[in-house]
Amino acid sequence: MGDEPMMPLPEEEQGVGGRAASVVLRTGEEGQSPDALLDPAHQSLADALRVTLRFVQLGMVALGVLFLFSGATTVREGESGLRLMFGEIVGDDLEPGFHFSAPYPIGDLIKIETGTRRINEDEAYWPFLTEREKGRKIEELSGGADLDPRNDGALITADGNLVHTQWRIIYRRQPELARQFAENIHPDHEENIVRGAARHGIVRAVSEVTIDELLKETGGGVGSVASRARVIAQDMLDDIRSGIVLEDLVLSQKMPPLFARERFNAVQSAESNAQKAIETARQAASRTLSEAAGGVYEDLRREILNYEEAVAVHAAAQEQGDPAQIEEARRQMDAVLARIDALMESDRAGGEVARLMFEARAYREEEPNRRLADARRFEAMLAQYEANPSVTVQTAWADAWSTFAGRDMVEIIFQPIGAGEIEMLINRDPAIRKRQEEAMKAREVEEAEARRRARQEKAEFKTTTDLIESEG
Amino acid sequence: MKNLGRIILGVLFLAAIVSFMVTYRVEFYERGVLTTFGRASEDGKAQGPGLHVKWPYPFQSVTKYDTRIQFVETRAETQQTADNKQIIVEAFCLWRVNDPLAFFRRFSNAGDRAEEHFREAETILRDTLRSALSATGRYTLDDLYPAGGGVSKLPELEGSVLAAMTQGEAADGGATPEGVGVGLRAYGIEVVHAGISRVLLPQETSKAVIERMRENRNRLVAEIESAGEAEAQAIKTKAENQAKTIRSFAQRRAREIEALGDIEAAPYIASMSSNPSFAVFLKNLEMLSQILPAKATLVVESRFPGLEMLDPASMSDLEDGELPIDATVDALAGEVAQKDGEAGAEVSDGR
Repeated sequence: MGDEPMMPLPEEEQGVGGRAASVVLRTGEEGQSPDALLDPAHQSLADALRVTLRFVQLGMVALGVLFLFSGATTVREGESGLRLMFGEIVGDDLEPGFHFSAPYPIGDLIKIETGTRRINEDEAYWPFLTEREKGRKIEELSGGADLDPRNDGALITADGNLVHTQWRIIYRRQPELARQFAENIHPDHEENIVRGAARHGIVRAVSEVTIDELLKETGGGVGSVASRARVIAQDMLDDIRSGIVLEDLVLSQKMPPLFARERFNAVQSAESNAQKAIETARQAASRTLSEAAGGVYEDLRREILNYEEAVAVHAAAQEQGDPAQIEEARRQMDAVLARIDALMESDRAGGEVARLMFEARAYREEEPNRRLADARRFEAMLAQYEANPSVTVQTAWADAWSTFAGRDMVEIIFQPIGAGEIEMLINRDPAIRKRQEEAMKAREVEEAEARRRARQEKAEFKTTTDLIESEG
Repeated sequence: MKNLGRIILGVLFLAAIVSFMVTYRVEFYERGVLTTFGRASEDGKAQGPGLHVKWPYPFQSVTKYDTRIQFVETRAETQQTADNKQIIVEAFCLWRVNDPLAFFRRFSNAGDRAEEHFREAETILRDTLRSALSATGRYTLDDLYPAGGGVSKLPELEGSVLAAMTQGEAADGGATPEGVGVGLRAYGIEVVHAGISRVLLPQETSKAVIERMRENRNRLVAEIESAGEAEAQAIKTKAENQAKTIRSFAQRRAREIEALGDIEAAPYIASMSSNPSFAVFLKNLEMLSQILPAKATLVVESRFPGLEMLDPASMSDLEDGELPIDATVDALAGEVAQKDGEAGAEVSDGR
C-alpha cells in the first residue's frame, strides 16, 4: 500500500449496525492525498490494540481476583488446619469446613491429616524369609541352628533367650495437638520416628519378661508386653512433643527360633499331656468318690471331718470332767451324726454308702422277723421232733441234702461200695459244662432283673427334688 | 486519568518485583541465617518465622533450616559388654537444629543448599551415635537382661548414650569414652532422644543360645511330665483315702444299725435255748439247703444215706418187713433217741 496513510471511511460507507472496517482498499478516486488514505489504517490498528489491551486488563483483573481468593480452602473431617501469615501461625485447630486465608506468599493454610495410620514391623525381629517362604505358615518354616545378625532379626528376653516377633503399629496425629506436630516433627521422618519409638518400647518391654511369659501372652491387655511397649513408646513421643498418639501396638506374631520350635512344641505337648493326666485323675477321683458315696461325697467328707472334731471335743470334755461340756459335746456329735445319716440316706447318696445303708436298714428290719420265723419253725419242728425224733431228723436232713444235690451246679459221682481207693481222671463233660454255664447266666439275669425291679420300686416312691428346685 | 491508572499499575508491578528481591519469608518450622557477601550476621541471631527484609542478591542471601525433629540411626554395631560378651546393637537418635547460625558455620562448606548441610550433619551424628554406643561396655549382659527377674538397665544404657551425645558426659556424671558428644552443641545440633532399636547376638553366640534353649525345653518336658504324673497320682490317692474314710464310716454306721436289729432279734434266739442242739441242727440243714455253689463235684459212696438204694444188694437178704435202711441212719436215730432220753431225764430231774 506504499507510504500512503489510510483514511477513515466516510460515515455513509460504514455498514449499518457494525463496527468500522479495519482496512479499506484504495479506490483510486481523484483528489485524495496519500495521507488521507493512511488514516483509516492507523485508526484500525489503534482499535485493535485497544481491544487487546482491554482483554489483557480483564485477564489481569481476573487473575488478581483469583489470587486474592487463592487462600480459601476446605478442611475436611479427619484433618486439622493451621492458618499462617508470612510463615507464622496465626490460627490453629481449624475445624472442618470452609476457611479463608490470605493468598500465598502472604498467608497460607496448611492441613494436617489426623486419621489412623499403620506401620507393619514384620522384619526387624523376624528371621529372614524368602518371598516364597513368606507365604507359608509358621509351622511349615524351617531354620538353621543359628541366626545371622545381618539378615535375621530377633529379640532377647529377660532370661537370655531369643524370640521372633511381628508387630502392628497403629497411630495418628492428635487433632488437638496438630500445631505441636507441625512445629516439631519433620514429615519426611515421621514414620521413622514412630517406628523408632515403637522399637525402643519393644526392646525394653521384652527385656523385662521371660520367653515363656511372652509366648503365652494373649491380647494386649494391661500388663501385657505389648501394652508395656506402647507405654514406653508413647512416653518417648510425648517427651519430644510429637503430637502423635500410639493407638495400639499389636503383637501379631511370636515364636521361638525355628530350630528350637519343635522342642517348644514338645513342651506344649507335655503340658497338654500333664493336664490330660491330671484331668483323667480328677475323673478317676470323682468316680472313686462317687462309687463310694454317690453325689454326697463332698458333703459327707466334710461332715465326717466335723464329726471327728466333735468326737475329739467330746473326749477332751470327758477328760476335763465337766458334765455341761460333755453334754454339749455329745449334742454336737449327735447333731453331726444326724446330718451324716441324712446325707447317707438321701436321694443323692449312691455307691457303696447307699448299699451299706440300704443293707443295714434291711437287716435292721429283717433280722428280728427272720429270727422270729426261726423261733416259730424251731417250736414247730421241736414238737415234731419230740413226737418222732428219728423220722423228723432224717426227713429234714434228706430234704436239705436233696435240695443241695439237686442244684444245677452240683455234679455227683457215685463210688461203688467196696471199691476201696479209687483214682479218677475228671474230664468235665462239655455238654454238662455248657448246661451249667447257661444255668448260671440265666440266674445272673434273673438276679439283675430282680435288682432292677427293686430299684424301680424304690424310685417310684422318691420325690424328684431337682425339678421342684428348678421350677422354684 | 488514564495515564494515572497505568502508572499505579506499573508501580505495583515494580513494587512486587522489588519486594520479591528484598524480602523473604521464614516458615514457623524454620530459622533463617542471613549472610552478607557470604558472611553470617555478627549479632548471632537467626531469623525467626515471619517476613524479613534483606538486600537483594548478591549482596545478601538467606539459608533456611528446618528445625523440626529428624531421625538418624546406626546399623548393626558390635559392642563388648562389661563381662566380655559380644552383642550387636542398633540404635537411633532424634535431633534438631537448635542453633542455625552455628549449624550454618559448621556445615556451610558442604554446599550451598540446606539439604547438603543436613546430609553432612547426619553423617556426623551417625558417627557420634556409634561412638556413644561404646557405653555398652559399662554393663554386663545380665545387667541388660536380668535373668533373675531384676530391672533391666537398658534404659540406663540409653540414658548414657544420650548423655554422651548431648553433654559429653555419662548419665552417672563420669566422662564418656572418647569424649563423644562434646562437639554437637557447638554444631548447633540438639539431640532430643537416643534409643536402642535392636539388640542381637553374634552368629556363633546365637547358635549356643538356641542349643541351650533346646536343652532347657527338654528339661522342662521331663519336669512337666513328672509333675503332671505326681499331681495326678496325688489326686487319685487323696480320693482313694477320702473314699476309704467314707466307706469305713458308712460300714461303722451300718454295723450300728444292724446291731439294733440283732438286739431286737435276741429274744427270739433266746427262745430256742430249750434245745440248742436241735436248733443248731435245723440251722445247719437250712444252710445246706441254701448253699448256692457256683460249681461243685461230689464223690459219694453208694452207702451214702439215702443212696443205698442205688446198690442192688441193698434189696437182697431183707427180712420180711425190714427196710433197706443204712446202719448209719440207725445209729443216728439211736443217738437222737438217746439224747432225747437224756433230755427227758434232765427235764424230769428238774421237775
